[in-house]
Amino acid sequence: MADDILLELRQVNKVYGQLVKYQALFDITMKVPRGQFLALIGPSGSGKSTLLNIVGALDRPTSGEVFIQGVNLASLDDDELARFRNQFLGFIFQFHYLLPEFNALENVLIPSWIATRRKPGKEIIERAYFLLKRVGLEKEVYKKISLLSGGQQQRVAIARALLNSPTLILADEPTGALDTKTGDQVLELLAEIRKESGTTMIMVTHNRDVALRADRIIELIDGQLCKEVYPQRIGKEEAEKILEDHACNIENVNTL
Amino acid sequence: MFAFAARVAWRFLKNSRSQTIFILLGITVGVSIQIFLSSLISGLQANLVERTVGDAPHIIIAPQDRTPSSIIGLQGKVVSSLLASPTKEEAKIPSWQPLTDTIDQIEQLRVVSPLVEGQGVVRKGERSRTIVVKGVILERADQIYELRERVLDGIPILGGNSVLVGKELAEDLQLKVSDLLEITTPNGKARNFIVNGVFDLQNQNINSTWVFLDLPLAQTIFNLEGAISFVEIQIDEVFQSEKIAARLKQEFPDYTIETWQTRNQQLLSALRSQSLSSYMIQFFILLAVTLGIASVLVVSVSQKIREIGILKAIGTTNTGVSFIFLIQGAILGLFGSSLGALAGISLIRLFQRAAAASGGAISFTITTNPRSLLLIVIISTLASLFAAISPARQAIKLVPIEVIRNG
Repeated sequence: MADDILLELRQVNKVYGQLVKYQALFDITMKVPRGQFLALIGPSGSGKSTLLNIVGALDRPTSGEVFIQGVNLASLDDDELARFRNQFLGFIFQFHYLLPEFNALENVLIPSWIATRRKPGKEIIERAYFLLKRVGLEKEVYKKISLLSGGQQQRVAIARALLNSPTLILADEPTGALDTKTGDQVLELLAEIRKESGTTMIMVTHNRDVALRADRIIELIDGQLCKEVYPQRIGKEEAEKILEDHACNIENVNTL
Repeated sequence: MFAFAARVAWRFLKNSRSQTIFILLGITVGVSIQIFLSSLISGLQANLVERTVGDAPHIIIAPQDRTPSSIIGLQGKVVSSLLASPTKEEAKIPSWQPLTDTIDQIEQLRVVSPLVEGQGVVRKGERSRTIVVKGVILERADQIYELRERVLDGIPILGGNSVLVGKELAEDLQLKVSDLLEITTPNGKARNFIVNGVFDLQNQNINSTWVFLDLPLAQTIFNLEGAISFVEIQIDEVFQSEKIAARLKQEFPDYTIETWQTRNQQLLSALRSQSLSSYMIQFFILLAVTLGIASVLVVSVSQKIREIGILKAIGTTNTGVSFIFLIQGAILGLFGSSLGALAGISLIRLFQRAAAASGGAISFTITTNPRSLLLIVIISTLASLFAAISPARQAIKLVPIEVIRNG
């Protein structure tokens, strides 16, 4: 079964600060199988973004180990981590972080430029076109980023995250900066694309409705895993009930 | 990585247009002033040196214990005072032909001219003057003193008992072409000569004391029996003189080798301090330009903090992001200094035109020296690259997670 585990965390701790120490994560141990859509929820400061950043190889844990596809991230130096992110991970952040100096197509192509170190070939450009078309930006391909709406920009960011066909998509409040309607559309799109490609996705969200669409929900409280729910298995209502309950449903976080 | 970094660097510069234009203008102004200044100084110095030693020997091979009078200092010391010490009989070069044979094999020497020099008194009617008799081979001496061009009256030919006299001496003694004059040498012999021409070497001392005559004739009247007094040499690169002199000293250890520098110390130290101040100014211009570039790029790092953060998050390595800024520095430096070179050349053209229009008021020309032009462009580009180091390091230090967390 080990082949099916894409991501594994072993007793991950994260402590911030030198003099005044603040522990954001406590002994997190968990596994994520390939192809799963996992939603991380929890109140502000619960450590869910910290966890996502550690999984995304953007941050290093204070102790503990992170394995992605069997690769121990601790064994990679900063430049190797950067290459790893480029090759295997797709990021979608709350703020789109596109480069205003480039147009939509160029922004989508950036991961390929970084990876191949030269001008993208015809195939890659075609893929970028395809992705922009898929996210509904057929007409905006050559537009400057500043001329696009917030929703459109986030769609460009999604297309960019998908360009290198990542093994794992990490999304941190991808709709946090959008209005509800636009946010819903973007989420719908993200869910569809994920389903089509069968890519594993971990999404941090505040929004319970969004979380209920995931295969699995994990709630963090004060830096520890508290609840785990499979809404597609037990049904939405049952899942909501568990989430509203104050008690944690995971007795021993380490065994998860 | 490099191509991608170059692309991002270019876009960054293109997008912050006004910032880029201002710093480019700054570099352009700085570099053009550098180029103009260095050309001006080198033009001025070349002119000064040319005027000082252009028609004088650059190196003189002299017998030991004898001071050549041909090297006249800037202050124009009176030649006769140099000759005040009695000429020693032994102070001569006994056989110069083998000497010149050796000398001719040294490539950098442009002119090698044997010279017989001695004192004399010239008489015409009642008047008499002390003179310096210069026995030369005209074809050779002409290449140093440009005698033929500078003969005002008569014909510039030496031979038989003909002589060339200076303008002032001619006026003084009311000498005209084909006049006879009597020269008495220190040993008491008197001889008559015919004035073949009157020259103007643009130096009053020379014009009133020097008399040129044919080398064999001079040897005869001074009883030198084939010996000569000095060998005068001109070289192509005047500032190579010390090096060449050292080589000559090796070849002829028995003789004194004197260069034009020995008699022009003041000029040289003036040139040196002029060069030094010019380098100082250039250095500070370069420093100001470098600081300008650095400050623009440092600001741009904080302006682009989000972009750099995301580029790092999606896989740009530290080398990659540092390249983005180093390349920006290099682009600014290369474009700015190239523009500066063009502007500098235009300034020099303008100056040349002004000099031409001034009708001789500006007596020297400045020319662009492609080598120093290229050097300034290269140095400025390197300085810009250097200016980009600090911003590049900032970009390396930037942690993507912090940018992302803070929005």
